[in-house]
Amino acid sequence: MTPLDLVVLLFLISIAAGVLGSLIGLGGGVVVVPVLTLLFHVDIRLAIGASIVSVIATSSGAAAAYVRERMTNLRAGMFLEIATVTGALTGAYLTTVLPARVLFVVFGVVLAYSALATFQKRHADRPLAVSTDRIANAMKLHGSYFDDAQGREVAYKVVGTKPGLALMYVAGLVSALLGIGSGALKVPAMDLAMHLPMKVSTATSNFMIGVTAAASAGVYFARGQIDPIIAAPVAAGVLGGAMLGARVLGKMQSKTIRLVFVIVLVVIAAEMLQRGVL
Amino acid sequence: MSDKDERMGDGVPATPGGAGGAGGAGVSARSAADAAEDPRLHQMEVVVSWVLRIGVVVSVAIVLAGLVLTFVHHPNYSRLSGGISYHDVIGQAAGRYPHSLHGLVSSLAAGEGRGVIVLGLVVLLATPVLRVVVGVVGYALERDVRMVVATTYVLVVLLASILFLGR
Repeated sequence: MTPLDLVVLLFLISIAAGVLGSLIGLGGGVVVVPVLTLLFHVDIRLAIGASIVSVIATSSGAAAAYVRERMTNLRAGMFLEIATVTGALTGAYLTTVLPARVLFVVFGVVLAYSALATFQKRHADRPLAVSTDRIANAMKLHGSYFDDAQGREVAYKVVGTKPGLALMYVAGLVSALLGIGSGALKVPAMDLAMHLPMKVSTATSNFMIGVTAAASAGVYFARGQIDPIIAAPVAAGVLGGAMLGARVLGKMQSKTIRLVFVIVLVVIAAEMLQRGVL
Repeated sequence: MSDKDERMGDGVPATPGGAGGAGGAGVSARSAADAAEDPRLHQMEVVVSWVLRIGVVVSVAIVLAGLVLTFVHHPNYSRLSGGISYHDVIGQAAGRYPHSLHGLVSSLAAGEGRGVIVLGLVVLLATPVLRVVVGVVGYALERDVRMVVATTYVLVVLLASILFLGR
C-alpha cells in the first residue's frame, strides 16, 4: 500500500469518525486509534498522536455549531475545564512511565465501566427542575436548550458538581496518558453525575475535549508522535465529518444517542482489552 | 437596554434558515427569550463559534496545501507500481518531520510539505487556546469575577502544559 492509499483511506475513515465523535462527544480518536493500530499496523504511539489531532479537530468542528445552537452549556464547559486541564497536566508527567499494554487494559476497563453506567440510565430523559448544589448555583451552571426532537425548549438544573469535577480530572488524566478516551468519561460525568441532558452532555463534551487534548498535544508534538502524513488526512476528514454530524444531533432522541454511545464503548473496550491481555 | 436586547434576539435566529415551520418558530421564540434574559451570553456564544469556525477552516486549508506539496515533492509516494509502502515514510525517523518549533521553522524555510502540514496542525492546536482566551475576555466584560478566575486558571495551566511540557 502506497502512502497515497493510506492518506485516502484514512481520510474516508476519519469522516465517519468525525460524524460519530460529534454525535456522542468522543472526539473520533476512539475510531482513529484502533483503525491505525489494528488495521494499518501503525505504532500505537503514532496512533495516539493522530488521535490527539483528531480530538482537537472534532471538538472545534462540532463545537462551532453546537455553541451557536446553544446546545453546549458554555459556562459548565468552561468551569469543568479547571479539572480537565489539571488532570491533563498530571497525566503528561506519568505517560512515559506506563507501557502500551497497561494502557490498553486501563483504557478497556474505563470504557467498559462508562458503557455499563450509561446503559443502566438509557431511559432517563427528564431534566432536573431544582438544584441544591452550591457550586452549580454559585457559578450559574444551569441552562436550557432547544430540543428539535421534542420540539420545545428544555430547561435543566445541574447537580453533583464535586463528583463531576473529580471525573473530569480523571478524564484529563486519561486523555494525557492515552491520547484518547477523555470524552468517554466526560459524557458520563455530565450525563450521570451532573444530570445534564444527554444531548447537552455530548455537545459540551465536544466543546471541552479540544482544550483537554490541546493541553497534552505539546508533549506529543515534542516527542515526534504527531506524524504529518497520518495527521493530515485525519484532521481534514474528522473536521468534515464533525461538521456533518453536528447538523444531526438536535433531531435525534436522547435514548438513541445513549445506545449508540454504549455500543461504541463496548466495541472499543473489547478490542482494547483483547489487545492488552493477549 | 431591554430594547437593545429584543433586537439582538431577533437578529440571531436568521442562521437556522427561519423558513417557517414548527422548528423555525421554536428557534426564534427561544432566542428572543434568552437574549432578553442575558444578551451578552449569547454574544459570547456567537464569538466563540466564529473563533472555532475560522480556526478550523484556516488550519484545514494549510494542512491540505501541505499534503499536496508533500506528494508533489515525492512522486514515489503515489506511484502504484514500484512505489513504496507507507510503512517506509511514517514514524521511526522522527527527524523526517519537524517536532519542535525550531524544526518547523527550518522545515518551512526549506519548503517541505511536511512542515506546511505541521504549521496547519499548530493552527488547529491554537484554536482551543484562543477559544479559552475569548472566554476570559468575555467574562471580564460581563464582570463575572468567578468565571474570569476559572477561565484564567484554565488558560494558565493550558499554556503551561503546552509550552513547558512540550519540549
